[in-house]
Amino acid sequence: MLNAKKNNVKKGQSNITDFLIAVLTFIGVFIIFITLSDRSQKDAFQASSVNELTLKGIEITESFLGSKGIPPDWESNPSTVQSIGLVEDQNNLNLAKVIAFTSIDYNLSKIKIGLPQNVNYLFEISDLNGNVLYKSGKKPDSFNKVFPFSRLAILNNTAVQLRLILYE
Amino acid sequence: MSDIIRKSKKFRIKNGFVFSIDALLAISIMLILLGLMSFYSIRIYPETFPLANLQLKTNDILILLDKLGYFSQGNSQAIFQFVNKSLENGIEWHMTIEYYTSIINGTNVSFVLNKTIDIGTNSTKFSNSVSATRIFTIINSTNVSYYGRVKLISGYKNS
Repeated sequence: MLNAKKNNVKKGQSNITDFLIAVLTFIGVFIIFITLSDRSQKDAFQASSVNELTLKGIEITESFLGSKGIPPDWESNPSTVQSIGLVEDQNNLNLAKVIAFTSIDYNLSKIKIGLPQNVNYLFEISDLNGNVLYKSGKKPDSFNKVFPFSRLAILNNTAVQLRLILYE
Repeated sequence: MSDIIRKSKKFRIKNGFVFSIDALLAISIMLILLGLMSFYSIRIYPETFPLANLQLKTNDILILLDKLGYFSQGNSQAIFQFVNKSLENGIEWHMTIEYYTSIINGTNVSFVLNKTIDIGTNSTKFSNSVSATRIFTIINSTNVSYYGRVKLISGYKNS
């Protein structure tokens, strides 16, 4: 009888210890899960913003090197431009369009190329040795992310490098 | 009576042991799954950016080589230097240029491979790569003398 009582006490203790371990493990795993899912959400948000700006940069450089712009002779009156294109034909830059784009007001150019308010850009055309020939835009004092896009084009029958850097 | 208690005690201890291994296994599997989930959620997206940029540049190189007349000259050394100068350090590339002549027999047109130029590094050594293809024609004194097909593969060095 006494033995049975002793056993009961032990059984109760082991059950409580078991229960405590289970609860602590559950809380631990739950905290890990919450932390990871929060981190995943932040990562997903950052990734979507990265993807958005990557696509934006690709879209802008494609428009620069793949079209004359709208209207096609926008360089004669840059303030009326609807879409900026810098070439005569695929990847063959038109000097007048390049000069018009690099002289256009920075804020207006940002609107015309469709950049959000919080994103700044720096545009450069340089030869293959890295000497800058034309430049516009600005590098902000502080930024979180940088997205450089580098393309190749022809200017006056010579290969040049076109660089667009987006700062967020 | 004491025999029965002893037997049941033994049984309980064994039972408890089995359950602990079960629980430990379940927890470790869950932790591994959570770890994998977090590892992949961090890694997938940012790596797409450099490849997208490289793809655009690879396309540009073929357009420029064609428009600046490098393919019509067929000078492999000049092409090699141009591509090397255009791509950043740390990027390997391989280019295959095929020149075809056409044979017209009535309404049938067939293409015969005339020559092939292979330039650059062996593309199996790339870890992440992109490729671009372009078809071009070479016209000498108003006649098409060659049709060509070029494929450029560029990628990061396999570390």
